[in-house]
Amino acid sequence: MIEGFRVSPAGFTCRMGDNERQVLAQLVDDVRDLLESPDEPGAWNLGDEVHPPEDPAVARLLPDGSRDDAEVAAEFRRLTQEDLRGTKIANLVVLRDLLLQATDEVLIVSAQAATAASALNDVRLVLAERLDIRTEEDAENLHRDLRWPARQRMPREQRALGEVYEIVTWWQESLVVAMVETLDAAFADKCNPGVVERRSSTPGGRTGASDQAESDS
Amino acid sequence: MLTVPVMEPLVENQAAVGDPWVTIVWNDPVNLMTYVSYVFRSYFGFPEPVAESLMLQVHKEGRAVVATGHREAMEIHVQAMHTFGLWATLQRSGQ
Repeated sequence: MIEGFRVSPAGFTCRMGDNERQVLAQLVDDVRDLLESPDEPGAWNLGDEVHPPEDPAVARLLPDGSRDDAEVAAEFRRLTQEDLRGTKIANLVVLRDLLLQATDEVLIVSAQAATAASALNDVRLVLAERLDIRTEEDAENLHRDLRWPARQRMPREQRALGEVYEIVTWWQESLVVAMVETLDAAFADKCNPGVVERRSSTPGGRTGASDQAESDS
Repeated sequence: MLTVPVMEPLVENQAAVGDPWVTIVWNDPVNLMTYVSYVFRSYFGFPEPVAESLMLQVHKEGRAVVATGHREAMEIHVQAMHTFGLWATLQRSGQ
């Protein structure tokens, strides 16, 4: 069982079964492993030569900084690759941990939302690369082929991977939609500074900044 | 129907930049339109109509210029886009 995210007082929540949480956390960890792999020729370059990743999935996470200029691309990679790799690994760890720490509800606090969304995006990029999704048409074909009866003809492993990709896609979309809601609400607040919007009611609920002095403890 | 004008991308110290560079975001089949729009709003601070317009440009035309300025500033933006998982590149403007 996996629900879509909704806005909640601390950030964003969704209900998810234990099974699904474990599977997703493992998937996130697998992507982290890819990025951390010491076998990667481009791994952990500290010298002057920084090579692009050989694994196309990792290459998609650490893409070229220039399409046509090899010098610009090389300079960009030298300056940024290890930093970017480190950031992505850290983001994936945050996502994995909040999945493993959850019980029946997954909570992403507001401050972690962009981190979690980015990590989820990287998971989807890796899945898509493994599914050979290179064009919009590829994506549409996969979606069509996962429907009955075409799905019967699909190799089992590809079908399983495809289904995970669709679920994670749907799940990320729900998180982003909720995050946009809070962006919109923050913007509305800025336009109406005198109005403090109560977006959710909590027991003994707060009514605004003037209640900050009140403590529940 | 309200037509939203395509607004200028983020310009950094344009007057001072003798050799301007640009940051380009490229379309890809994985990134959600909602997510691209969100990144444009939250990272660049673009208002919602601008972010939507640029996202649609990426989606329909394959690419959009999202910033212009010094090479170093563009490198930072490109790295940020890559952190979010968007594919971006930098190049000299007018190339």
